[in-house]
Amino acid sequence: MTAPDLAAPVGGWRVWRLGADDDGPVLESPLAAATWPARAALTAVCHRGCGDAPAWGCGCGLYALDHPHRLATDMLWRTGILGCTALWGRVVEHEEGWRGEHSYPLVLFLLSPDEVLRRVAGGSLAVASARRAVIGAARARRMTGLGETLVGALQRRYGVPVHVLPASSPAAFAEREVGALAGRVRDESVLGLPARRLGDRVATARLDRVVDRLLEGLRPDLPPLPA
Amino acid sequence: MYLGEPVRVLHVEPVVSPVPDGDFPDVAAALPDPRPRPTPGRDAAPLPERRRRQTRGRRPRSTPVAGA
Ligand SMILES: [Zn+2]
Repeated sequence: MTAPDLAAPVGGWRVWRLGADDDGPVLESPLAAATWPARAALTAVCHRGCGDAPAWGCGCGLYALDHPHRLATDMLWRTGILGCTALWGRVVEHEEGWRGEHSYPLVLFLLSPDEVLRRVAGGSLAVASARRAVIGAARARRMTGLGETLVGALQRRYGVPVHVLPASSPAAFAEREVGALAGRVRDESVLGLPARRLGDRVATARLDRVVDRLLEGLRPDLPPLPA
Repeated sequence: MYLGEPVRVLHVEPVVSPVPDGDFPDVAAALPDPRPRPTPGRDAAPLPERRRRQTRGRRPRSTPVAGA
């Protein structure tokens, strides 16, 4: 038994694809057949037989990047869901990110909720049921905007904050000011986690504030942020 | 997703689980009830009710997966 290196999870950026099960929308990996269960950790195992996933010389594990600008812009556009995830357990640190044993989202951003839903609706069973689940939730709550309902449905299911990204934003993550704001979101999503879990509203508001700053920074129609 | 070369292996054990517990996303995690103080005489304070069913939340279930 060795002492842990860290007593707080590692936080990193990654993308998800929208899927659905009988209870509504779910987060799926665009890289492998993996679904993040709501309110339960996702745990990695290696199909190549590594005993301890993620293994050093293998590609197994749950991925996250240190900065969202490292995500290929087309990948973000294709998947539509960006966010910070907590990684814990055995974690292999890389030059630009991590592979973890366990993962759970900390904060999510939908590129364009209506668009994400439309895209899933490519005729597949999953998309059809995602749409059904979201429409059902919308009717139950007397809401009209599908996208708005998707945000609410993900938030309720996973119990984490969900925000909408300005449509023109993926490339903007490469800008220095926006990069710094994204870094603050990642840091706060991890540092404030214990307090938020205990219901500390100040900690929740702190995360909301840094998210608001990031969203402002991503709006091309607003004047540039002060240095 | 390219991560660069591996640098080191960390053993990470969060003190507080990153997974929200229970079925009530809008409700804060329940803290243990305060211990009732001994109060003299018959005006003693009643024991506080147990807060919420959230304290008996389901244990997280894990789903195995590779390279995701
Ligand atoms: Zn492996």
